[in-house]
Amino acid sequence: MEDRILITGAGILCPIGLGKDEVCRRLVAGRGGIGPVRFLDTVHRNYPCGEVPFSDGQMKEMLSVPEGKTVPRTALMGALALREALEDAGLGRDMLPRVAFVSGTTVGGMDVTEKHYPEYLAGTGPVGDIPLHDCRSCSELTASFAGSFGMITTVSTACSSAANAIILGRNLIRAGLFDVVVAGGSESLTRYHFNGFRSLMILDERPCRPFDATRAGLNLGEGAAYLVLERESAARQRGAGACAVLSGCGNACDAYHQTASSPDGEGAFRAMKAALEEAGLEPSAISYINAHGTGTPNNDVSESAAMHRLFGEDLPPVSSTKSFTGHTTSASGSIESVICLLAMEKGFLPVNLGWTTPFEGGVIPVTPGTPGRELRHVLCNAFAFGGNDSSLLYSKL
Amino acid sequence: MIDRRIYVLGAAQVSVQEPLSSSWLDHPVPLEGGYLRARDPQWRDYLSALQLRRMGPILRRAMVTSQAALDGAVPEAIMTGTGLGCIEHTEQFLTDLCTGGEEMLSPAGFMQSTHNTVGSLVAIQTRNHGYNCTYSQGSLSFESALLDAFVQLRLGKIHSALVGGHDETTPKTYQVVAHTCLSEGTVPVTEGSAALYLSDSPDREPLCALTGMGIVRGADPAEFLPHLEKAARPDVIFAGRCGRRDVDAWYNAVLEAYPGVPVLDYKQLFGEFFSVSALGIYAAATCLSQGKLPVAPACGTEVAELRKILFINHYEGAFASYAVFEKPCGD
Repeated sequence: MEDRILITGAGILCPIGLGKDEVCRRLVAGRGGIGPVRFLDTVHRNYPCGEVPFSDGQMKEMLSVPEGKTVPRTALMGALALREALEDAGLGRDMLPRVAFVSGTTVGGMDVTEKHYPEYLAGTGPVGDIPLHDCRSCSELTASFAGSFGMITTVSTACSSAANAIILGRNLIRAGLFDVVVAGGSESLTRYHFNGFRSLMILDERPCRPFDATRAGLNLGEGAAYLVLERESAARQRGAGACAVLSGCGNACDAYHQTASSPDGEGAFRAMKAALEEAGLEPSAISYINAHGTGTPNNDVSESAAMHRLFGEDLPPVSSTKSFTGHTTSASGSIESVICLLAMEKGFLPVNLGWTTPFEGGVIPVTPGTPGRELRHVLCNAFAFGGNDSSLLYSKL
Repeated sequence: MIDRRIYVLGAAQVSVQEPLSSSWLDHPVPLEGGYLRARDPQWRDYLSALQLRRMGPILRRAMVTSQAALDGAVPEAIMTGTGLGCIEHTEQFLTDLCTGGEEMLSPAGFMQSTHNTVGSLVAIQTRNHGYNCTYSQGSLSFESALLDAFVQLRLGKIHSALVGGHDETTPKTYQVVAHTCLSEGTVPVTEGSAALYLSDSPDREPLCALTGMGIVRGADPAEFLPHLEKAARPDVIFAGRCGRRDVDAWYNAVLEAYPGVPVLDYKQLFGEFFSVSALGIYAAATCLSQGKLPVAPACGTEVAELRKILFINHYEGAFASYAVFEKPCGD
C-alpha cells in the first residue's frame, strides 16, 4: 500500500490569534476577529476587516528583526506561522535542506510597493524597493527566518494559493522528490487589494454573514498558516507524531468568468468530487465541510449549488470560518486547513457566525445549537478569481 | 513513481524573434538596445475583436502560444509560470490608487491583476475544467510550472498538460528592472510567452522527450553539479549567460564540467525577463525536433548528431534548475 501523507505539524497566525491553542480557544468560544481597521492605511474606515492583532513593529520584535529593516507584512506573518509549524513538527534547522517550502501568496510585498510607488511615479523615490517585493521574494524572505530549505516555490492562484501549495507539496512527496514539505500561504492586507475588492463592490460594511439571506459581501482578512506534510514512513522513522492524514486533493477550474463563480458551481463541484475520489470515500463519509463561504451573494449561491449537487440529502455540517477571520485571501486555504485539523483533533464543529436566515437554495450552516459529532473526514474548500477551485480532504489517523 | 515517458508534442512562442515561427533557427533577429518589446503577430488573425478589447499583451500572447502549442488538443491540466503576471494592469490600478486616491477606482485593472489571470483565461477561453495552477517564483517561475506537470505526469495523475511561461515588460517595469538587474554588456530586457504541450503518449510526432528535471539548491556550482549526473553526455547545453558578470561566472563554472560540449546562450536570442527560461526550453525542444542548432550569433557550432540537450538556469538566489530533453528512443 502506498505511503500515506501525514500532517506532522502546523502553525497559524490569523485575526483570532497566534498559534493553534489561541485560535482553537477563540473558535470554541465563538469569538471572532473581525473589527474596525487598526493597521491598514485607508480612508474607508467603515469596512470592518480581519486584521492580525500585531503591528509590523511588534512582529519584527517577535522575530528579532531590526526595526529599520524593510520586511513586507506578508513575510513577517509567514515567518511567525512557519516557526510554529516547524517547532510543532520537531524539524530542526539541520533538516531543512531536505525539506521543500511551498508558499502561496498573491499580493506579496505590495504593502511596501504601494508605500514607495507615489515617490517612484514622481521620480523621487527609491525605485530599488519595488522589485524586491514580488511573490518569490516574500516566500524566500519568510523561509530565511527558518533556515535553508532544499527547494522553494510560490503558488499564486489568488484566494486558493495556499490550498494549491498544499496540493503541490503532496505531489512532490508522492513523486519521491521529498519526504517532507512545508506548505501553506501568507497574505497581508494592502490598500491595493482592499480597494480592488471595494471597487468590485463585494465588501460588506457589516461583519460578514456567509450563507445568510442578508449577506452583502466579504470582509477582508489577513494571516498565514503552514502545514508540515510528511510521508508516513519518514515520519515513523524519525518518530514524529501526526495529527491527521491528507487523504485527498481536488483542483479544478470553473472556467466561467475571471471574477465570478458559475451559478451551478461546476468548478467547486469538480474540486470536491476529485478530493473524495482520491480518498476513495463516498460523500456520506464526510463529517464536516469548511466552506469557502466568503459571504458574497455570488460565491455562496455557487458553492451551495455545488454542495447540494455532490451531497444531495446527506449534506454534512457546513460552516464558513471566514465569519471569524474575514477572507484571508491567498492564506485562506491553509488557515482554514489548520482550523479543520483543530476541529478534528478537539472534536468540535466550528460555527458560522452571523447566520440567522436561510436563502433559497443555500446551505444551512453550523450554528451554536447544532449538535456536535465525531469528525472523521473533513473537506476544506478554497476558491479563487479565475475559477481556480480547490478542495482538500483531511482524515483522522 | 512509475517512470512514464513525457513527450513534448507542441511548442510555440511570441518573443523578440519572429512570432509563432522557428525562423530564429536560420535567421535570428539581432537584439540591440537595452529594452525591446516582443514582435507580436497580426492579432486579428488569431483573436476576435472582443478578445482584443479585453486582453492586454500578456493575455493575447498566452492565448495564441497556447492555441498553437495545443493545435486542437485538449490538455488535462494547465500550469502557468509568470514572474509578474499582468503587470500592465497592476501598474494601472496602482497608479490610479496612488494618484487619484481611494475614491474613484475602476475595478478593471484590479480584476486582471492577479497572477493566475493568465492561466485561468486560457481555461475560460478553451472551457477547460481540468487542474489549473500558477507559479510566481522569479526566474524559476516557468520551471515551477513545469515541475508540477512533470511530477503529475510521472505519477500518472494526469496524461497531458499545457505548460506556459509568460511575462510582459512595460516601460515602467523596465525602469524598475533596469535599476536593479541590468548592468553594462548584458542582453536587453525583453518580454515574451512560450507554451509547451506535454503528454505521456506520443499521439502525434513528438518534438522530443523530457527525461528529467529539477529545481535544486545550486548557487554554488559544486552543489549543483551532482544533480546533473543523470544528464551525462549532452550534445549541447542551453545556458542562460546574459553578460552580467556574476551570472555568467556561475555558468562558466558549471560548464567547466563539460569540456568540449557546445553551449547555446539562449538569452542572446530572446533577451532577459523573469520567465525567459520558457523560451530557452521551447528552443531546446524545437532544436531537437528540427535536428539543428541556430546559426550565429547564438551558437554557430555544428553538432554531428543532436540527440540530447541539457538546459540549466540560475539567475540569482539560492536555487537553480535543470532539464534534460532527448530525441525519443527507438526512432
